[in-house]
Amino acid sequence: MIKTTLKSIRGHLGRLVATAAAVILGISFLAGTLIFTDSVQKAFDDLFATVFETTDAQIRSTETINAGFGFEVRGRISETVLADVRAVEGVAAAEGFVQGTATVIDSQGDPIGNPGQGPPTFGFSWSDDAELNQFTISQGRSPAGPGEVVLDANTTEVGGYAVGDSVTVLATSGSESFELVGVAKFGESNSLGGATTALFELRVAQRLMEAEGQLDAVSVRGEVGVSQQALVDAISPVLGDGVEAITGAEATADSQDQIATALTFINVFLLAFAGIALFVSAFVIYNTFAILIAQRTQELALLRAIGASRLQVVGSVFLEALIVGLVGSALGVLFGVLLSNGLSAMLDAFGVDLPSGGLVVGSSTILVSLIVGTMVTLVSAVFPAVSASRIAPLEAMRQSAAEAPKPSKARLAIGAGMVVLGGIALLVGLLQPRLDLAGGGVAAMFIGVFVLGPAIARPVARLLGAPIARTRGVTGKMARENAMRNPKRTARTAAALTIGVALVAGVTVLASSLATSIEDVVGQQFVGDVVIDSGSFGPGGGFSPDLTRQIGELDQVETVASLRVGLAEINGDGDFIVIVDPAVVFELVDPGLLEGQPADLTETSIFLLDTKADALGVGLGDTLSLRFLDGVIRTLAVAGVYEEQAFFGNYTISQGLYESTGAEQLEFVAYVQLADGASVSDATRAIDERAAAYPNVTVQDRQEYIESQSAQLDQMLGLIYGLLGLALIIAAFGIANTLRLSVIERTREIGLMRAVGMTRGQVRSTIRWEAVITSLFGALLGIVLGLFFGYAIIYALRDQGVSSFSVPVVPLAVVVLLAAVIGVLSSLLPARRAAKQNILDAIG
Amino acid sequence: MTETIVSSTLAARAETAIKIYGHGDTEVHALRGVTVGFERGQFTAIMGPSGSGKSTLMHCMAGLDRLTSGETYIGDTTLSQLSDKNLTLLRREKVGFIFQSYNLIPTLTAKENITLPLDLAGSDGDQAWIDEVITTTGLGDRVSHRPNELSGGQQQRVAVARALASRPEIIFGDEPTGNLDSRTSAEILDFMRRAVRELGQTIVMVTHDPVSASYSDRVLFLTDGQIVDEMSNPTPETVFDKMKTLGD
Repeated sequence: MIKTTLKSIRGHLGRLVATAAAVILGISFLAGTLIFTDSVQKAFDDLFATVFETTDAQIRSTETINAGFGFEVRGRISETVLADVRAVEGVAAAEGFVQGTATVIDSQGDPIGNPGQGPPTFGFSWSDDAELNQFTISQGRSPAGPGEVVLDANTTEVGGYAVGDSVTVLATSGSESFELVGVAKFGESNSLGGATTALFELRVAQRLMEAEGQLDAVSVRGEVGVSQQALVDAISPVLGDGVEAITGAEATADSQDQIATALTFINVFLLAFAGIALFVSAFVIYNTFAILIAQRTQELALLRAIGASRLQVVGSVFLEALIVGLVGSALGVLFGVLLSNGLSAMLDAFGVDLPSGGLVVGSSTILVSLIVGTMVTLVSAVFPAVSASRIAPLEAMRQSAAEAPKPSKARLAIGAGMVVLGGIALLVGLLQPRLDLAGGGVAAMFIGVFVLGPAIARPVARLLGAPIARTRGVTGKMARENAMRNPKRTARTAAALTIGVALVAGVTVLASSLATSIEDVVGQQFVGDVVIDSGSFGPGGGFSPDLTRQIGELDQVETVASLRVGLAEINGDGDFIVIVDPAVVFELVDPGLLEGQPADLTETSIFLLDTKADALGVGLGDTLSLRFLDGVIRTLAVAGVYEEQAFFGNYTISQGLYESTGAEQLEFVAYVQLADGASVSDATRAIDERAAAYPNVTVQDRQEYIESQSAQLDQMLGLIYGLLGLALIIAAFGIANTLRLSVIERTREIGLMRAVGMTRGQVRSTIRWEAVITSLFGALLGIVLGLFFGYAIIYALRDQGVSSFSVPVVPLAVVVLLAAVIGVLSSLLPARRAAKQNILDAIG
Repeated sequence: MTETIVSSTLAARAETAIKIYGHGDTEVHALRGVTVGFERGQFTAIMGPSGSGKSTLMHCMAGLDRLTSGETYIGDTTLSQLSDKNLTLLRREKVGFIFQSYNLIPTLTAKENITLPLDLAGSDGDQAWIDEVITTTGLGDRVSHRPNELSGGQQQRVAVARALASRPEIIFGDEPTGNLDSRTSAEILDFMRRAVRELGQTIVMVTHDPVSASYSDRVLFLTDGQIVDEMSNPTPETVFDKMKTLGD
């Protein structure tokens, strides 16, 4: 039996290539993702191990606030600790470090990097102790006094600078010019993982980071023979409250963990798309096996007739799937290596210089890829195999493989049932919210459509093919008939495309609805005329409050109100908070206050979003305890509840309160109300002039700002489209595969048509239009599902200010058109093959 | 067999047709210089033992295959000069085919199968003629059925009707009754003969069955790629006797 199977594989090699291609595509994405994140993690691990090699102990604040997503900030410590530590026995050297945001402006006047959307822009203090310093000078010299800066090699190159140039740096304290006295490397790397780094003498750094008298950390080197733990034990007694000492090994592990957490999110994101690719691949693999086995029904029946058991028949198909799965998965891992290189190259092109440590193809990556790929192939092959073994030998030998039996009523019922149940699961899952339930619902709906497909493929193909049949003459009619003749096959072939299109359509509808909602909300709540936007959300980006003050002094400006974003622990949970000036902000922005008055926001009170208030079970008169990086726990009275998240986020406090915590003060955005009679263009020009020192900000009028708020979605959308493109490519392979098999099956028919006068062009046209009808069938099902997905998510978000359900007709029409193009492209090779067939061989 | 052939009365002809398959040791001479003409309005049968080259001759004359040397004509058209595209158009417009089996497209109705060559050409054809052809099939309402709903004999009648529909210069049949029982076979052959006698068509049929051949006006005998004899107004017995002398 094994011999027969192997012979069969050799005989059907061409047909199996496309099945293997589906496995390869699906697995390469999975393997590529695993290899990529493993490699990056390994590179960072090595990097930190090198960096902390000579650090025996690190002293730091115990105060941290974790906002989730691997986003953690740590408090500062007083620099007086330095002298105390240096006096401890066993300490060979101790150096203090300050760290903050310092955006470098390139020689053209544009900021390098945007911490809101990419790697951070760091400012560090320079240490003269070469063994404790993470950076080494590769050109020039180290920064020694005021007015001097050293940049990392990558930033120097990107900025178009050379040693001796004057460089503008934007720090917390504002924008300043420095002389570039040297270029530094981080370990062996030209940059710190793609971040930009500006290095200053300690005093300069403290002033720029608004950390006078403070340090972020102290690195300690022990004397020879003193263990790291002994050193920590010796230092700890001299440290005050809120300050801790950890060993160099712990500091290494800590940094490695932080990177690992951050990478986890990239990993999960990419793996989600790998999962989609595999899901689509499974449909293609299933369909190919189903067709192959249908074509071999007679062969299998003959085997059964001459004495092969059902188990042997199933076993032979299984063995075939096992070999295809293993070979495909192994090739998938190889392609994964290429793909992972591609991901690195792509990031490199975007200026993310990841530390290079070579690719890590872990044994777990290989094992997971092989197991997943083989399992998917086996599961996809098992159903066709079992159903093939069920057919009685004589029946199979009689029936023709080309014509499939009519789909049953049970199929209709089961398919429709699964779609409905899946839809309910999705809605419930979204509302709970439970993502596993929602995801399961989506999968159930896809499988339901897959089951249902054959029952509706015939009438839908008839309908879709009608214009083609009418306008393309007999070739169009033949194409339609061919698409209708085996509805099971048409539906299954289209299924892969359905998934891809459904996801694309769902994301498109979602993005369009979100954009509309954002524009609606922003348009309704923002009453100002001009906006100064730093574009970077969260701590580490933004502009100095000094700019806001300057703008407020302009004649054309009536009122200016800014928003800052900070981190705090609220009743123990880290979260972002918005900081406002209560005296002016309500004139420009309306958060939809449900309870409380604007004047109620003071240095001892807090406003919060209604859904947060519900979740925490607090209302007016209750209190919340907030801890900032200064470690002091403040009890704040809930003085207001608002319903719109767009401007005020989850929590809002006053500027006075936030300034008292000693946190870095940076404006995220500032809103301007113009004085009576001032023209917008006039005012914008004046504000632009003041903002010239802050190249990271954009000055926009009201309409531009409202539109830009939804523009950020477009970037995300581009990335998601790119990743979903893979699903469409796999679907195209599936269509090509089916057509190829159908063409083989219809060899005699095509030969006959050629004999009675069908030209090669007409043969190609027939197959092309069949592919188009199949693709359109898949695409339309996908659009319907996608609209439902989009609607379900929007419905679930209706309490979060997402109010509009907008169906973008043009993009969806483009998707349908794209599906037709995919059909045409995937038909090219099968059509060529069909047209080139020798007539006499075909009809012989 | 060396008289000059007058083209105007001939629907198709071949001149010193040579067909060699393969190269070197595996070379097979299927046709060794056949010169033959088929007159309009005649029903011709080509007979010969298997491997005699009768199918090759038909394929080359019908534009389904190309000669190694020599020439074939449909009407006045020289086939060797035609591109694949023009050969296809020639088959569509001037040649009709009836194969032994698998003559019909399963997804098209009988009527659509009959008009297929016309539809491929995007032409309506001669509607009165088509109606007449369809009537002669005797299928009645069943012309709107798909092939799998028709009997073998009905399917073959549809195939003949398709060959007639575009009023081709000539119709080639490759063992058109080879798959049918003798009663149905007789019915189809009678139908073909009526197409020649009553509708004025030209049919050339390859067969190895003396009874089938007896329906024709003229029988050509092929052996080893050469025409060795011919016979007019054949009967099953005379054909059978002749075949015996050829050693099949």
